[in-house]
Amino acid sequence: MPIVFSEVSHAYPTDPSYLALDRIQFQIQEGQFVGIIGPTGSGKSTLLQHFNAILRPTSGRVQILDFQITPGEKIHDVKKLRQRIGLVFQFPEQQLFAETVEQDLCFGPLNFGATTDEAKALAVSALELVGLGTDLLDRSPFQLSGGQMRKVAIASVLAMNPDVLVLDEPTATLDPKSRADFLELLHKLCKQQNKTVIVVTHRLDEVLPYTDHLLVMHEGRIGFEGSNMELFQQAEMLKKCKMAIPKPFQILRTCELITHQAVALSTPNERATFSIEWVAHQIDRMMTAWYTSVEGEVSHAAKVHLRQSD
Amino acid sequence: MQQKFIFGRVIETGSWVHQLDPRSKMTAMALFAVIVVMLQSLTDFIVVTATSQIVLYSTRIKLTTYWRAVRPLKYLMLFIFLFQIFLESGGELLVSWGPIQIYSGGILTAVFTVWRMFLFVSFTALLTFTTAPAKLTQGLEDILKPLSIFRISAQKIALMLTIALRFIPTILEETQRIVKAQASRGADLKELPWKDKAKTMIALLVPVTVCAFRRAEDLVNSMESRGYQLDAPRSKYFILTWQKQDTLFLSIFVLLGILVFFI
Ligand SMILES: Nc1ncnc2c1ncn2[C@@H]1O[C@H](COP(=O)(O)OP(=O)(O)OP(=O)(O)O)[C@@H](O)[C@H]1O
Ligand SMILES: [Mg+2]
Repeated sequence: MPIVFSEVSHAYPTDPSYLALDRIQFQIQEGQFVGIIGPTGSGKSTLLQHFNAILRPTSGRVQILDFQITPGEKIHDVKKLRQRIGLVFQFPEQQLFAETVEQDLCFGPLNFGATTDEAKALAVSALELVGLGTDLLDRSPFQLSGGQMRKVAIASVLAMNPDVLVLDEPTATLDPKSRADFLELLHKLCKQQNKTVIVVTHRLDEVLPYTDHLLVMHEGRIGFEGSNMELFQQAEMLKKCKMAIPKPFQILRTCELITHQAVALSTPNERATFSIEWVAHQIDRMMTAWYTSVEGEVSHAAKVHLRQSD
Repeated sequence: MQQKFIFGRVIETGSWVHQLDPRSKMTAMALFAVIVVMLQSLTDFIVVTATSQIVLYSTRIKLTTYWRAVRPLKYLMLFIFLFQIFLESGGELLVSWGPIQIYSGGILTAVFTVWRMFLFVSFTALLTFTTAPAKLTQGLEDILKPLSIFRISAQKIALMLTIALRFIPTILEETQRIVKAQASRGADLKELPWKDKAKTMIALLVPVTVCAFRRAEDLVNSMESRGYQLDAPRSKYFILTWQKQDTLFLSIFVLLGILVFFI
């Protein structure tokens, strides 16, 4: 079942006149990998907290799995909703609260009815998923390094094995290797276990290789919704939304200008990944086409020249 | 959750109360506290309530915002209310049911006590809502200056208060963040039965305290690395000036005091 936001607005009670979300409207299909980008303060975190009803819309409606989230109505089984939708908040390292890492990891599973042994097993496997050793289990979460805390916090959500994973800048403070590994993990969860993954990020080029669908937020509204390729074609729009155009886009755009060719997909179903290999391949294709056309012109010019010198 | 934790936050509207000298506001608060304690008759209560609400209204912050500042105390107030009703025995006997006896005097005292608390808390919220903590403590420092003859450092007290005030909203936000994190992992405070609610609340204490200590340590380090020394002479960030409006503001409370005390 797709996730549907219809005309969702949200105003924080501290300032009811300001809409942090302003009539948001979009759809996400089951099993998609979705990237959400947007400048600081554009409402990304506010949006994400609507996915598991931590925040309620002040108007509009959210439809997710078989739940309806509306302003007034009580949600039938909030706990079930939160079990199936795992939300990793921004700055997850600030959300640890238990005495040991193990207790923190077990918190979710235990609340959702796992036995102690099951929960412990889930904790261990989640910790391994994010690339941490089990030697951390007995440590206090407050004595870990920043990156370790973040990984534990992410693992604590993975341990609940949700159907939909919603993450708010999960990779922000990790080292490059861990960042790549983690996105790879999310991609695997998405493709192999058919989980829907929704990631907020400031590094567009980092998620482009994985995303099926992109949302660009700007001042509480959706500024763009579409595929990677569509975003590339409308890249100027990013500037209007106060965002930088990612490097791969700039490189390909320049190449297009030089060669008078266009970036194109070889089959309609191909996903434009904008990874290094993909970009190199596109450049190669455009350059070759350019040479061929120029070659024709050159030989033509040469013939004319020869005829004249006769 | 969000609405409950508004105590200790400045709400800027630029009203005349916002621009008052913190010393006049603090003195006025002290007077108001005395007045509230001395209230006796219903007329007193009505006059003081009306005046205080008018003053609150003139800050251009919604009155409901002030009333909400009382919300965290609702259970305490309820407890005190019931305590007074059941234990105070003056006036006529209204209800007698087994060991429970309710007198009219009891009801009156109960209502008045709760009313007092409400007046006091909602009105003192004015101080924190309209005054930047830095100004507040600077005012306090000035007021406490005479204590230096007893070898008590006004600066030290002011610094402690600045930090405490500064961190009230931060720690509340931190708490809220953890509450949210717990809720999204299946322990929603709102949904839990009473017993578990208490348990979860206690479970909150540990991380929040740890965070507070961690913050304190960071703060000490960052202050020291920028050369802060206690009791070293420092220039002031705000220059406090006493103006006509301050005298006016203070005289409202002096008059109110006289009114309640002598009439
Ligand atoms: N708890 C809150 N109370 C009141 N206003 C808030 C609160 N949280 C966020 N806002 C406001 O809502 C707007 C959107 O904030 P949000 O946190 O969703 O932005 P964001 O897109 O996640 O930004 P960032 O990239 O910096 O994380 C901002 O203008 C912010 O000031
Ligand atoms: Mg955010």
